[in-house]
Amino acid sequence: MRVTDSMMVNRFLSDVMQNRKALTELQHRMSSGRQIRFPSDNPVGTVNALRLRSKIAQTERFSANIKEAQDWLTTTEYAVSTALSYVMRVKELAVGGVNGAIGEAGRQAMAQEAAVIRDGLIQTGNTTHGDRYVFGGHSTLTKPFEASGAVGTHAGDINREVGDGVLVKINVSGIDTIQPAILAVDSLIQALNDADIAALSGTVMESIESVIDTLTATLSELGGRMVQLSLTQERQQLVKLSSEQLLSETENADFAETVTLFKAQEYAYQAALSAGARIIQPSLLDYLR
Amino acid sequence: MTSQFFGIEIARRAMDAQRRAMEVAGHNIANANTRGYSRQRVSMTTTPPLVLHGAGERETIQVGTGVRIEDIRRIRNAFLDFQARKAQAMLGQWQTREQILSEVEALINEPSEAGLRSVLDQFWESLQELANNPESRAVRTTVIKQAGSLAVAFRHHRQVLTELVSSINLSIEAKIGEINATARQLAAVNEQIQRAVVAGQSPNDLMDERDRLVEQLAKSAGAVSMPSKNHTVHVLVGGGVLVSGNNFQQIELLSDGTLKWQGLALSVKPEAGQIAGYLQMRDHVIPSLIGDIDTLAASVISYMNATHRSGFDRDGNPGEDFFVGSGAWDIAVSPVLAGNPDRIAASGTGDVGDGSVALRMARFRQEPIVSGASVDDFFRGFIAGIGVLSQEAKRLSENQMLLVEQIEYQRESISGVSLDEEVAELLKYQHAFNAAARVINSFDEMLEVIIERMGRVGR
Repeated sequence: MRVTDSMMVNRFLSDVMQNRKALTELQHRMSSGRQIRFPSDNPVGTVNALRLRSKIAQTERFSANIKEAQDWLTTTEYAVSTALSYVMRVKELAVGGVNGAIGEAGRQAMAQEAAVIRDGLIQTGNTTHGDRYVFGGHSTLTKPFEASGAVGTHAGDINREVGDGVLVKINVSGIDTIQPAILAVDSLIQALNDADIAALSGTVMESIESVIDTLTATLSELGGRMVQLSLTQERQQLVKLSSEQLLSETENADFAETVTLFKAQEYAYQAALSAGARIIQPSLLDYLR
Repeated sequence: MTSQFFGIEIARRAMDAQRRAMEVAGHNIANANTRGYSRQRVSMTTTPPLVLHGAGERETIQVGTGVRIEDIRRIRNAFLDFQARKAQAMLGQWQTREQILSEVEALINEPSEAGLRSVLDQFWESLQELANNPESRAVRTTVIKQAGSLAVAFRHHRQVLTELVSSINLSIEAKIGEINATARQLAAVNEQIQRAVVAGQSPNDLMDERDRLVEQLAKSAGAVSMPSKNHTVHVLVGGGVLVSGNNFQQIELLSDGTLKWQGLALSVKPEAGQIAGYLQMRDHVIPSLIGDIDTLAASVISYMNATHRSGFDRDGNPGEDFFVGSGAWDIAVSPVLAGNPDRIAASGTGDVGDGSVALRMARFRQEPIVSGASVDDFFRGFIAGIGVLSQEAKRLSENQMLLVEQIEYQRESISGVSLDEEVAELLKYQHAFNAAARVINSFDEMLEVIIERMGRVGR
């Protein structure tokens, strides 16, 4: 095969260009720290990167939703347990009222204490989280309890999305929890004022017992949701962590590998240059007299 | 019997031929770096012999009369030219596609935290926040802002792609100008070649020029050429005649973007070359990308509006449209909502604390609303599609580049000028020239003997 001067020069130039292109590519990979800059660098990797980035944003959002749900539930749990302790005191009053020895004056004092407890219950029923009433159902901006008792229906579930399509209900209705306690206190006050011993030990005591059951059941249900939420939170954190790791593997350059490749490419480049410098220079003219 | 001066004539012819050959070597050396130049070789042949009668034992003998230059040929392989033109046409097409698709990739800016995906994420987050705090006016304002960013992102993506189409049209216009000029030049070269050939010359340098122009047309317009009489060429683009002999046909770009043969009612349909690459991108690839963006935007608009209409705003009034517009070109947040964020219908019941409709709106990215796919899946498919196209274009243009280089290498091996070789040839001819000069000297001395020293007998 004939090999001409420009063949040598062209081949040399094209080899050097290839080397330079590879060097620039690796250099960019090192300085940007990314191996996918454009979808064409790796279409499948790009799809994964897009999916993982959105996944991370989603888990962050769901984590924030869970945190918010936990706060809301904690507020509710505190309010329900306060209500429960009020009702326990109410039960003590009812038991005391049955005792015939305490007399009229004693029952009046008990009735007064019960009235104070009733105020406390109404206040508890108006517990807010931020500026929202937690017991009012969807009517979060309207006071669910007035002095006379419950206002409105307290209807509506408040949900938080804690995973893709997974909803957790975070509210309990005031009508179902606080209102029975207020009614029980009302009946106690009525019975104390009427000195209705039979009612005190009968219907009043029964309603108090039933309220205690309801509140206890609500508390354990709230506790259950808290446990569910913290498990979900852990899972979201794990998903986020593994997604971040996967994203980094997909999108980020492996530094050890990139540096090694760069070094090898650099040698190849220098070798091409020095070989070119030797082969291009001499010609027959150098050896003619 | 031949004249005593005959030897001088032989040597003169030799000196003449060797000098010509040295000139050709010089021409080769001078054009060692000229693009498209093929080295030239002198072919020498003996001049017709003289027939002498009764000069020896035989009746007649033939006496050589020296040398003459028969022809100066260019060393070239037509098959490699054919291959080179085919490879150049494909290279032109794929390089153009690669360049435009790289531009598309840069414009859509994925994967990053600044592309459409990120805006979709942020809009979704704001709707989630609204589901958590349907009462909050601050959150409602954020939703309007994020929805506005989403609308802007859609319009921006569509606009840059539309602008890309107009910039491709500018490139096509420039390329057409180049093709027309080259066609005109080629027709002129064809004519010069024809004249030279008819006059019995071999127009080597003109043929090099002709081949260079044909190859240029192959790259830009995917032109196919066929050899015609008298070493001229016939050049076709998409089946239509661009150059034939000294005639050429011009191409024009109409205002509707189609290519037409000037003065004819026929459109030009290039099958390869840069023009074909531009046309494919302008007429198929980019419009389909724009269509995808429009489909995506239209799906988001219709899902958001339908969901929003099923809800109630902060004051309990039924929801209206969330977005106005019908595609990526005109999507915008409804001015009613933009003016009063309270009008966002987040509630499913009319109660202010209910965020269930906001939550359903937030599902715009998971629900299969874009021709059976979710917004996320559709968008990822869109990006992957661009990635695959661009990767293909990169790979094929790199392959074609290697092929072109390989053919160029082979062609250079045959037609290229080797300085070593030319210097050696130069020495060869120089020696022959010197020897021929010496031959003249010898005859000169012989004549001197005849003229100066003969006929002095007895003096």
